[in-house]
Amino acid sequence: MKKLSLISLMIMLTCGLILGAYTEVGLAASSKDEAKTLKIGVMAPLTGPSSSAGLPHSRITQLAAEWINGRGGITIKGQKYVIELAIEDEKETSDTAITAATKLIELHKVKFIVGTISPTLAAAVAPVTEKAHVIRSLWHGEGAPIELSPNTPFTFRVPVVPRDFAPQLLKYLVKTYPNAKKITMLYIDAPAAPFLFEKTKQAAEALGLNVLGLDLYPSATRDFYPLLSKVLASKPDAIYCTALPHLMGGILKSARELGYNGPIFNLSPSSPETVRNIAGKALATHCIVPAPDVNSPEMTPMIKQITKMVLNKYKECNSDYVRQWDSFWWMVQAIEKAQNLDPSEVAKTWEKMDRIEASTGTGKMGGRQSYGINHIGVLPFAVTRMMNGELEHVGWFTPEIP
Amino acid sequence: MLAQNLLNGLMAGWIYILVALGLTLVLSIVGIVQLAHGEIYMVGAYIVYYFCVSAGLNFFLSLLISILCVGFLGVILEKFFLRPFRDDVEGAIISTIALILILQTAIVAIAGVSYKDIPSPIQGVVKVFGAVLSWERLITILVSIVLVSALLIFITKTKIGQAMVAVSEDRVAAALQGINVNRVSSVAMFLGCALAAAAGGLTGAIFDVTPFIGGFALMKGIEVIILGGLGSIPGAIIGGLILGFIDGLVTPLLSVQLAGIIGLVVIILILLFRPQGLLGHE
Amino acid sequence: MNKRRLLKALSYTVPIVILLIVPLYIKQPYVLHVLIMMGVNIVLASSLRFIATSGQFSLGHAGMVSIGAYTSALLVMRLGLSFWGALPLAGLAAMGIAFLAGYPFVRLKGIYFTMVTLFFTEVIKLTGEEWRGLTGGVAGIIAIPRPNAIIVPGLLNLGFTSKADFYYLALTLVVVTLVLLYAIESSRIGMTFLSIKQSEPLSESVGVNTSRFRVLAFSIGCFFAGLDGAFYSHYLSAVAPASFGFLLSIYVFIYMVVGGMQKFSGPIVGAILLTLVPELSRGAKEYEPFTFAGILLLVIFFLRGGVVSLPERLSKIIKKEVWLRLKSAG
Repeated sequence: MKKLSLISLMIMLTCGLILGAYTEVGLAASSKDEAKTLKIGVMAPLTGPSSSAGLPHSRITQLAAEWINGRGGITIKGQKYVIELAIEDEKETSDTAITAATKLIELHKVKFIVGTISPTLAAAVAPVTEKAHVIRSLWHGEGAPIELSPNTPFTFRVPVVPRDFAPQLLKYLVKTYPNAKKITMLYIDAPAAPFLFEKTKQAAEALGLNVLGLDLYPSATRDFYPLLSKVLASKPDAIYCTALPHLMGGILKSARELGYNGPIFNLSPSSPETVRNIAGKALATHCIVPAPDVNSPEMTPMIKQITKMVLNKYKECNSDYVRQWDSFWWMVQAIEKAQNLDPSEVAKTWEKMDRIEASTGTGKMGGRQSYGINHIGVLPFAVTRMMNGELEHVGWFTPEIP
Repeated sequence: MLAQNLLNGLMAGWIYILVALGLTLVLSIVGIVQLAHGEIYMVGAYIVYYFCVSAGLNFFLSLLISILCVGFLGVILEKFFLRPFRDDVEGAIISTIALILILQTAIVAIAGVSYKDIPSPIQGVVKVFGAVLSWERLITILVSIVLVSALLIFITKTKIGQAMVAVSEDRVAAALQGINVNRVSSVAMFLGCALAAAAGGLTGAIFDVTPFIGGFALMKGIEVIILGGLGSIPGAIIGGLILGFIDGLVTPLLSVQLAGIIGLVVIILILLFRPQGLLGHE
Repeated sequence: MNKRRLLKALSYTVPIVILLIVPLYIKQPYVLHVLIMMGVNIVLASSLRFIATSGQFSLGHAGMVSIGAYTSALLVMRLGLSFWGALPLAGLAAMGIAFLAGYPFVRLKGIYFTMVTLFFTEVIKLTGEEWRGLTGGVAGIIAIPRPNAIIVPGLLNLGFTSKADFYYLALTLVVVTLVLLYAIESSRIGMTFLSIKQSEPLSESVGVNTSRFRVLAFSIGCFFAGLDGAFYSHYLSAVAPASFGFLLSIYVFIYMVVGGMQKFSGPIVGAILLTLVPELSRGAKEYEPFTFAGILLLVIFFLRGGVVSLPERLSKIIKKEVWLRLKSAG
């Protein structure tokens, strides 16, 4: 008897709390309309292992929003809007990502979201955002149809991804290491891996290279000696990986220690400083990554400006910050070009834009042929090479995304 | 090729041994399953990083400092967070979980989440039996052997060591013999945390250092203990070597995925036929 | 009907009526989402406590939820079963595996049993990651369909397209689970569990096959975890092995202990309060773990019986104060 009345008490208390929270949120929502803010959602891993990338991505978005607001915000049909960000932690798994997306859509009532690093989480969240007609600007992907296709009309992706880095990085190999004929691949174990391998293999064979094979490794791997012992036994001339920065550092270090001296490429845009630091200066050589060295004098004026802003506020800066500026900025430019806050209208405008300002130069939208939908960003990307512990900016490349 | 794989396995094995030994010392002598053991390992790595990189000290000196610091930290933690829950399983679990949260969040707040690396004490590689080992890996094996041997000598030859064995077998009987159980507990905790810190510092030089490396260490420690024997020190050594060799040999010969599965299958089989582990007593 | 009976009946029905009409007043989908997650956690915490009544602390619940979630998703998506058929089967799958694993596990006592269940969660997670053909590997399964609509002409039309429908399903699951768990606990079987918890050797000496009963307690508790998993996967529409790591097992354990293990209502209170904590904390998300750790330490050091023991504790303190006052006055 006593315990059940206690339960009743707790339940009523809870309902009271929830009703209270509900009314509070309800009031808050109405005041927003008068202030004319445009609320944009941000989804990133802020805690947990992926936060080493998630935090920089979230921070650069905040800086970009402040920068845009500092320039007068955006103007739609004569009405000025100030951008306000609603930031949610997507953590590590598909259920926490779905919860974060649900919170953004149903609690914060956003219509535009920048977010999701992991392609797996992006695919899991897609049903939620697509059904709610919320535009998503993805931070990363591998290039497989499950991430972005005609079935996801509200999803866009600005940064270049491994599938589209690959052809350029292969051409670079042929040009710079002409004696390299046999290549092998070492990818992180992700669902897009077989698809990515197929595309990269095609591109490699078209250039006359011989692809020895593919090895997959779990993302939790720390010790690469066992796997590399196996991979190096087939004596490849070059190795292509997909790897997060610390994994790339580990692969580079172990491969060099085991006696491999050929070039190693990362198809994922990992920060070159991190890779170099983990591998150690002595062993960081002939390693090429499709990410900018933010300290290089060859950076565009805008990237230099962004780097300064980040250093000012966060006392550190690398490509994990700088690389994501455009994911947010392009979405805002699309909203402004459409002169409309309705996601369907913004989507229609965005996919037609063929001259968009980017931190790395000028870009446009592409992908109608290769992805089925013109929602892929085509913009210059930087490639950095590590030589004897030093970073050298190789150049600016433009992907071909028909 | 076989030599390379064996050496890889040997190194992995010794790291597992260091972590598992610390865990089993705390488990059998302090009487608590220290879920925060992985975080102790992680803190050890960060202290080595700090002294090596920020203070510029020699790696071995930093390692020694870390071992001592973390050992003493462990003694403090044992007194306030573990000892009150000695025979209280739920309390111990909750307390150690709180420790995980506190330690991990504190390190994130102090050091940030970006990947750090501890520079190797000696650059270059060594050729052993036709196989290659970086100096850090060789040092790891050697230091581990030294530490474990020291521990074994301590346990078998000193009075406190013998007292530790007595407490692990029967705490009440040991107390009746006049052994100061609390003091022995503190010593065991010191040693256990010291070993974990050593493991953290050594692997930090080989791999990377982040606030999240603890979970993997804890899981491996638990697997080794279950395999080798709950409450058994020789068991931790044998269990660690077995798991290390599985990880080192199966991966190149078959695949990475199979290495994980075979390791777990071995443990499951042991559990089915001998739940107390290979050398456990229960 | 005498007064006592009337009050007792009311204390059962009034909360249920209130819970039933909640969606009529609260339309905000996110609030309903929080309530649904509370329900999920109540089932998990209560079934874990059920296992604990036999003296066993399991950290394997995450693995059982995972089994239930995958079983249901696969039965519906690969074999075309209706959700309503897959749901009990998911529970039975979890129960079956708990039963098989239980026999070797119960040979271990105390903390060793707990460690082995933790290890087991890891095994299930790894199986989910490696058995790609079955489970979709690391990425898991996405686009899991909603439960099949329940249409009773004139009475019910639940299409499960709105949060409110899922709320009712969650509520039903919670009520059914609590009723069944309470019934078993109050029965002779429940008494046997308690006797095993108090003293296993003594129970053995009066002829109780303690191993069999421990496995039974373990299996029944895991059955409800499996059911919960099935609900979870069809509600969120995506599952992956990483969602069911040992952290989930630990959270469920925390709900149970913080709420209070001695009483049936303990885990319920614990689950409700601790589901709310992340929602109500406004500060920087990175420091949320500190708050959580603080709550944990507060409970184990000062309120060992959990939140439900608070009224008793307070009344004891008050009585002591009153008595002291009376004593010093007279």
